[in-house]
Amino acid sequence: MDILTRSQSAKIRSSGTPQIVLKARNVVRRFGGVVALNNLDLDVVEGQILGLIGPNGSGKTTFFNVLTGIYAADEGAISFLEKEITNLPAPQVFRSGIARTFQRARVCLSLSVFDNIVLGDHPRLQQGLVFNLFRRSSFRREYEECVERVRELLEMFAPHLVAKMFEPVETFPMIDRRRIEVCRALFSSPRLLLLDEPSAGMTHEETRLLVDEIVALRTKRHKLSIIIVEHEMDLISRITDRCVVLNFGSKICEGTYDEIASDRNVQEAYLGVEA
Amino acid sequence: MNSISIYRNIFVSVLLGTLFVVAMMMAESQVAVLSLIVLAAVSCIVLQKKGVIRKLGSDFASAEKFANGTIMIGALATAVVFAGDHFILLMLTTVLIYVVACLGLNIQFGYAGMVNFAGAAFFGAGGYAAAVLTMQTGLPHLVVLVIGGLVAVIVGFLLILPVLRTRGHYAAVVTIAFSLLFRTLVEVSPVLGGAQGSPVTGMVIFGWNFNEGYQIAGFDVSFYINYFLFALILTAVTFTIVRRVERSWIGLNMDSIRIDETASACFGMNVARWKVTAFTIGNFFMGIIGAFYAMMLGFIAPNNFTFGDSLIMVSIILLGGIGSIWGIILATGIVIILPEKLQIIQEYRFLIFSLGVILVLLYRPNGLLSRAARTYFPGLLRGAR
Amino acid sequence: MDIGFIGQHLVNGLMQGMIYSLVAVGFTLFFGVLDVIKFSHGDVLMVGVFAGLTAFFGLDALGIENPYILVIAIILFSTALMALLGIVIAKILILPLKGAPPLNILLITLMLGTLLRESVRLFYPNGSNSKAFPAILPTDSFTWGNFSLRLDSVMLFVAGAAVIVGTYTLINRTRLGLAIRAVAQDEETARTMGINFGFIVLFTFALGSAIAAFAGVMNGFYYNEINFSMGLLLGAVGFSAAIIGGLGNLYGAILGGFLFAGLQTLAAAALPFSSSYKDVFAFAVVIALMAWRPTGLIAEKAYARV
Repeated sequence: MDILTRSQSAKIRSSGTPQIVLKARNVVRRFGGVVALNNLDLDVVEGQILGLIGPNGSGKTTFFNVLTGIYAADEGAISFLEKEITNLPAPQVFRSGIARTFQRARVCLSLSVFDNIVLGDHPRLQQGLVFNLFRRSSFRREYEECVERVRELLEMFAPHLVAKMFEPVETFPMIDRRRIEVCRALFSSPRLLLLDEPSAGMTHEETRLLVDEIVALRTKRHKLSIIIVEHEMDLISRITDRCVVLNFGSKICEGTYDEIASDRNVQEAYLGVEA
Repeated sequence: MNSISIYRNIFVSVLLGTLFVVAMMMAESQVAVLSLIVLAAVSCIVLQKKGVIRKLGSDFASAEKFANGTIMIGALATAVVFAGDHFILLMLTTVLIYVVACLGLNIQFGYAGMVNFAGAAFFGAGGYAAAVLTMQTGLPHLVVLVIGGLVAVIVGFLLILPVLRTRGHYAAVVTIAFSLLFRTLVEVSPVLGGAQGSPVTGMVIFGWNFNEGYQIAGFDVSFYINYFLFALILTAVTFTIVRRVERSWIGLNMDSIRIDETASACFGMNVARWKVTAFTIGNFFMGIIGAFYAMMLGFIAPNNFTFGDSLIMVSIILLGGIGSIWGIILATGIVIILPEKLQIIQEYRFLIFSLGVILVLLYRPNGLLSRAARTYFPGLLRGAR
Repeated sequence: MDIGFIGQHLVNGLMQGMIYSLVAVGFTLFFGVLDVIKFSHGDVLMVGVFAGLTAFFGLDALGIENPYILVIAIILFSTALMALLGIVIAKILILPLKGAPPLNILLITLMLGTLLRESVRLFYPNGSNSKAFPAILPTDSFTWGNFSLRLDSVMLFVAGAAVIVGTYTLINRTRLGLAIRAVAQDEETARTMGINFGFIVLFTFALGSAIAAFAGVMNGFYYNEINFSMGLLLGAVGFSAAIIGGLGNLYGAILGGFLFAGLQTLAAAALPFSSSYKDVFAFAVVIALMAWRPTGLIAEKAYARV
């Protein structure tokens, strides 16, 4: 199966071989008797947006959780940038360059925008007790650097939030919380971004805005690959290069949006038609 | 011009606050005490309604060093006024002791979200360390204080595995069980004096004997002034460290863990490391101040470290407002002083206290002074904007 | 070690285990339907014992002397009153706090416990002193060698077992129990199936509190001494028992209760230090068990929801 879109193939032909950043092979995860992921194979190509779709309970979020180290895989292997990351603890997966958002915008509501975003690059901050508590002028330098970096990031993705950087997130509407969550995930400059239902809890109009922003994101971060889990087919059709469709934990189809949309298996999975 | 009005506001409110505390301490008759309480309650409500409290809050925040210094002077002035009075100085020092212990607990519970219903046990661990060390060895008392803190930390390490592995209710049972265990252990252990308790030597630092009073210009100064002053220093140091924890990446990490452990781990955080840090720092403060408390009383017994005392510590934090340092100081003052002054409720103190906590939790779950949003460098914020 | 010594400890351990299990069952029931820990449970037990004592004084004043009538009246009065108290607590404190942080609920109920304890100490006549609980059960005993088993112990144990079996049957074999289990599984679904959620919660609290009162009265008859602070330790032990068994699980509560009593008995009878360390030993084992099995021996089947 051709995993590259036409425009991408053209790009790669001119610049060299396509690099597969994430490679998952035969990933299995069971919960009691339920097989949530069944021998899943999945590749992500550098710079591409991969849509991960399927009915409720088909294993999309479970895949994210296995990938990021929240759940352990029962079988299979995952490698990222040629490095084995299967069943590493969550912090180490993050350090290898994978950042994510969550289904229900898990930002810290009582903390400020700055606090939330700065948490997104936790490993790069100096964490020593002495540094934090007693070398306050050094700490202050690092802090001011961070303020600058957060400001730059916000200016790029959510300029209207710059002036409100020190206000608690709970004062903002859902779409801003999503933006803050995406900024948190981008703050460490990851190589792979996992977006888990970014449209959940938002209006149609807000979703449209967010899509535009994600599209714009590609032009700003060329090397960033994205996996997006979504139910809004509109969104999927507009931004993905390639889609993988899951049903009952198994991959039933893979291809461009147009290809999967016309696939009989996919239609059956969604409409529940007997084969 | 604007800043002058800020300084004036701070000065006036600290002055009024100090005068109120002095008046409260001086009030002998129950009528006077009750009127003072009503006065305070009514003026707080009126000022809150008129927005004055909020204005004052922002004034205090914008000139923090000045405010803290003024409050410190207010505390010293109060001590001078009551320099001859054993009972009042003892009461004020007890408030400071509870403040330090609760600030320690606040790092665990208020920041990292780790429930600890064994606060009094760690406090007691420090106290018993002081009893053994001052009675059996000639170690300098400053060293005894530090060892008291370390003993509490070591005792805490016994619990670290279950505390790290459990969450929610299950974590609560670990510390509740430990609290009951500790109390029973010291009660039945002959080495530690059993139910009768154990005597502790009064504090002596570099020849400065805390248990000796003074005569200044023919005026008798209570020896408790030594303990008060030293407790004030300990409080200031603890206050500073807890503030710095809050205003650093460490405080941010702890907040993040409290709010969402899984998300924190997904951003590279070593959750266990920060839980251990919070638990250790908190227990250290509780142990140090427990050792100090034991040396001040000259005597400790299992009854000083019951589960009920742990509950009071947790309640102070909730009453003050979780994570709010000034809230804790205010709540400690109320919880310690009110029953002492209001003799009519002395007998009913636990009853009223528990009722009060229930009401606050039901109707003001954020406590008396809820925690303000984090500013890493107050004053800098405006510039950063 | 002779047979009488072992037998005595065995009987004692079984009685303790039965009392602890009954308390733990309450914790587990409340947690099942509402996901809350009601820490005032032990103090409800204590209030129940004092209610029973009051009933005894009342009947005594009326000149009723038949021990069976007295016992039954004491139990009925105490359990009925505590069922009522359970409903009131659920209605006023627990239900309105649904959705509040679990820690707040834990604290409120801890404080409620203090409130009940202090109320009895202050307002019950001479409440701050220990009181003798009437020994009205028959004390005939069966003797084998130097081991004697008293009839009242047997009666209490059988009654306790009957209560546990009854509760088990109620939860697992009746429509009402089915509704309770449905609510415990999934409140939303249970509501849409037409189950009256509020009623189920109130009923569960009434049931749990009545069982606690029964455990308290049993404790009173067995030791013949009660005091205002007995609920704190019994509550903590019951809570620990429910937790080491695994919250929300009836078997777990019973297992935990007998396990805790077993540990205490073992410490008192067989370990080389003084029997006053028995609580220290039992709580230390509880803490160690928590480190080993962080969600109880019969683990909750829950995965972190992300």
